[in-house]
Amino acid sequence: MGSAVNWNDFKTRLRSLQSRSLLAEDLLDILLTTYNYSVVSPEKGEEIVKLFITRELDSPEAVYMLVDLSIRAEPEKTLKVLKNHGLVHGI
Amino acid sequence: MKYSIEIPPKDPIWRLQIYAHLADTLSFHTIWLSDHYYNRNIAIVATAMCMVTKRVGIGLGIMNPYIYHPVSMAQMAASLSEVAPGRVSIGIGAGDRNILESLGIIQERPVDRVRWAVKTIRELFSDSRRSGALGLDFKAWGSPQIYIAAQGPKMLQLAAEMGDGVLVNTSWLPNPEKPLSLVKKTLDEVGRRRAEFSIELETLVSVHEDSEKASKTVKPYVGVVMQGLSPEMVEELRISEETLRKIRSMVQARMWLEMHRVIPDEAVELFSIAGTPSYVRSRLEEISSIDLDGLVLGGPLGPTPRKAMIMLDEIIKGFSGSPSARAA
Repeated sequence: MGSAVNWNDFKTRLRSLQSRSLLAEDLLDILLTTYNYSVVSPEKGEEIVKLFITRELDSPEAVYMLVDLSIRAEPEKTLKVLKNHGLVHGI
Repeated sequence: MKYSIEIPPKDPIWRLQIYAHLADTLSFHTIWLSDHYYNRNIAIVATAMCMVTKRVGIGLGIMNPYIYHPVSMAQMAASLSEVAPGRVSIGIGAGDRNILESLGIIQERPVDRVRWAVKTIRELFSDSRRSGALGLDFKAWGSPQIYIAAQGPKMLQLAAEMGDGVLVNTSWLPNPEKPLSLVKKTLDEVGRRRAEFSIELETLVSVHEDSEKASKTVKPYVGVVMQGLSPEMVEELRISEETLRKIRSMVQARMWLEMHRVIPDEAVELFSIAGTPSYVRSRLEEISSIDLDGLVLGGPLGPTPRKAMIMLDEIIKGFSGSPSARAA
């Protein structure tokens, strides 16, 4: 993934992303449907549920967590989603 | 018309809680938790779901009285009612003969067995303190409703005689009027009022903008339905023994990802409602015009269940104009 993602730049752009709530939904759907279940521990799962219920899943910190999890679960799908939201280029 | 959903507890509990909370905020009436030995325990999942919901009903089932003694069913429902008062239902059926046999259980006299189970549960829920009677040492909050899941005529009749409602098996989707009229006829014969009984049809649903994705996702579920069909239904629908044999062995081996290769497209058409939102809308609209009290939209719901639930909610809201939601 190397040069495709500059993570410091990524975090900055995530903060100002207009479509952050849609991004959160797309990433959540990746985690809800992946067969790589073990990527999300029960503790992380509990955290996701709490954020979902309190509608805070689209905060920059939560979305960063979702990116971190989904990229481990489904790297290609996640990169495609990030590209669709204009957060990565050149893939 | 009540629109409920069925969620098989095949996913990690955190995912199931997300779906439950979502269902709670949409207009679904009840979440039914189908029970298969290879999935998560429904009592534990139900409790986890109750913790993140306030309104939606939770249906324990369909359980069968070969794997669960009715005292366990009653105990589960009554305990759950302390976490979700007035929101608990029990679904009881005969179970799947093939799956029971794979567990070394012979499905003897299923109608009698279900009758015994319902009678026992009612005895446990009654506050009877007479000598020799079974009883729980605590009361359930609200009265858990008992639905009987039925495919064959004798079970349909039993449901009408003893249940609070019937969950008509999805295999009747091609011809739902037939079990409906049998149930109504029996209600009449035993002197029960139609209004005091709930007739609900289960159906497999898979909705997605890409109809091929929707179809592929529903195929393993169709496979489970097909391998549990009665011999009469197999003959009526002219399903080949060879196809059934392959499906049965794949279900036993839990080869879900491979099953789409052996399930014929015609079977998807017969036993499920799978396709684009507009296709699903038109099929559901057609069924909703029958004299049913409810429709249970069974798994998978769609390749992306979260989005599918939102799409289905939009569809069903568009029918009656008023939500099927249970009052908060």
